[in-house]
Amino acid sequence: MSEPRTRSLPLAGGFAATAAARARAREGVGKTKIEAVNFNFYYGSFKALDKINLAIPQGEVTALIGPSGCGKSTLLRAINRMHDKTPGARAEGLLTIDGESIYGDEVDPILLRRRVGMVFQRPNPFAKSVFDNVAYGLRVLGERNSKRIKERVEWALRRAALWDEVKDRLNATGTSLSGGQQQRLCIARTIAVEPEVVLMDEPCSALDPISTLKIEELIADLRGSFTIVIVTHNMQQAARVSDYTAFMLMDSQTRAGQLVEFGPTARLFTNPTDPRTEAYLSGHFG
Amino acid sequence: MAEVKAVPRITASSRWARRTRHGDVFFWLLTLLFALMIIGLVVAVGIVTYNGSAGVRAEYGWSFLWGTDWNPIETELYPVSFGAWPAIRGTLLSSLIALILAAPTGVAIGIFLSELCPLRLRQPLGVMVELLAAIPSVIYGLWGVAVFANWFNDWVANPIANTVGQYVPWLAGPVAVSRGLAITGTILAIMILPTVSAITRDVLQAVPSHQREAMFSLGATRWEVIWGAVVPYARAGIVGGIMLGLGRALGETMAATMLIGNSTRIEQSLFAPATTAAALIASELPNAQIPLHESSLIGLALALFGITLILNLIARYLVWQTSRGPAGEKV
Ligand SMILES: Nc1ncnc2c1ncn2[C@@H]1O[C@H](COP(=O)(O)OP(=O)(O)OP(=O)(O)O)[C@@H](O)[C@H]1O
Ligand SMILES: [Mg+2]
Repeated sequence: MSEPRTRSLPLAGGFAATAAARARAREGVGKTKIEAVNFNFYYGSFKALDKINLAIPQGEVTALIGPSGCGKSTLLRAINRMHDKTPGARAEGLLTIDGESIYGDEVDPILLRRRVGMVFQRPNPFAKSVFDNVAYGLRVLGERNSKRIKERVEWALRRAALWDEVKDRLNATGTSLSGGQQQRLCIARTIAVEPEVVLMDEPCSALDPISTLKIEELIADLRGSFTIVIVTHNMQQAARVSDYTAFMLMDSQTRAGQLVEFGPTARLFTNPTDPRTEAYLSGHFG
Repeated sequence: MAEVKAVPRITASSRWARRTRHGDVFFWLLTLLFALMIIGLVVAVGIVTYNGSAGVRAEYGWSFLWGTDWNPIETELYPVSFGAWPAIRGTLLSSLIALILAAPTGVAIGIFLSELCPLRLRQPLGVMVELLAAIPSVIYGLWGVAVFANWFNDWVANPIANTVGQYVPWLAGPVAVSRGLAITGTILAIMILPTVSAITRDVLQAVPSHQREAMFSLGATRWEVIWGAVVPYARAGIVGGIMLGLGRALGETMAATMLIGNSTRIEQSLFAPATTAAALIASELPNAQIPLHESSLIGLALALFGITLILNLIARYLVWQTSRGPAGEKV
């Protein structure tokens, strides 16, 4: 196993400056958490990701943007090996977390996923109570002490800005909450086990504007404690919540997803280096 | 974006619109009619069995249900008497045995088919399970009498009767040859196994994949995903499948008649011959000599009807219990 890489990235400015600065004050923030080096991904013979190179910094929010079908979800789900159950899906090249290869032979995907949690596009609470939804991950970790579980559940629900709304109905089914509450419940469930990385695949696309705002505030609040990678179709959202942005595009011939540009969000949005980024940001494709 | 070639627009012709408008009403009436037919059937069955059993109800009243003597023909020892308990007891016990054997096994098979089976095997195994579910019960009965009974006696019934049976009266010998509650229950279990497995598989496959993904993303093992998310999500459907199997076991006539031994004497041991409501009706109705005999058999049918109804209500209640409140969600 190689030594963890500590190549740091240029500082982000602009939109998220204060929150990011606060976060960066904590230890390790800004050093590379996840790195892709010539990373390819295949579905059977179809190449969905082509030579992705990027370094996602620790404790910050990285947005993946790009038109539909360019491979954002594929890249995101590659990070916690959610593709393992997909027949024919196959990774190639290097993808690392803390310098360790995610697809290495010795890696246990179960343990990996305890470090890399995920929030999905559609809120998907379990068919259990609000409390059990959050507690389940803790029980999976092997926690049996009900007092500690209680503390942890409350902590997670508070961090997910949901506690005040559900503290009187912890026994109600998760699915009886509103869509936005359900999504925050899913975030609480994910952060309850304190993963190092939280992946979010269009977490707001099924939500109304107010719920979306709440989730964005939540992301800002979680920044620093977690490394967050978020896929979004909403450019304003990417600009609002992220420190770094990766712009991806599908190759017009092979349909393989490629990384066009990666950099601090403020810089990428105001001063993109690649003309394709500029075209996309000004609404010329997708 | 690529240019898309223009094709003629499709508009609703007024004639078509008119027809479909009436079609809606027509379709609604048709489905309503069929729905009413179901209710009508249930009511009709209720009325027929109720009226048909007037004689026995007048003679015995409710005590018909727990009367232990069934003697359609007068002998020196026993007067003519009709008590439903031997048949009801046999029905409940044989179905209970079937349920105990088939429910866990069937659910396990369903879980395997839906969640664990290698993709290449899933299709052939699934087809096989469905084939098993479609085999007529007389074939199971035949196989039970001709093949399974000997094996069961040698390897299950006798060993149990000779060991545990020494101390536990309801597992005691002597073991009836090729007949009895235990072997009937076992054959019924085999019969309903495919039903339970196939339904379990279907409801598990209907569990949305996002439930599995949510579990996986928490770092759950495959086993935890299945027990923690997939099965709880589908439990209402699984209970439904088990109940469907139970319903089949309760009413099963052919295999039961062939294997139960058709004895209306109540014996404690599960290895002794017995009878079930369905078997008794099937074997005695054609030969019923006196009106009270026929009326008693119809009364037995009414009792069986009531039992299935009550068990179904209990099942509904179970489903409702598990699908509400803190424990779960309606599927
Ligand atoms: N399970 C799969 N099997 C085969 N091909 C897939 C699978 N999932 C995705 N693909 C293909 O991989 C490519 C990238 O898909 P992906 O879902 O990563 O896109 P995306 O950028 O997330 O798009 P969207 O914004 O619409 O969610 C697409 O061409 C898609 O058809
Ligand atoms: Mg996607």
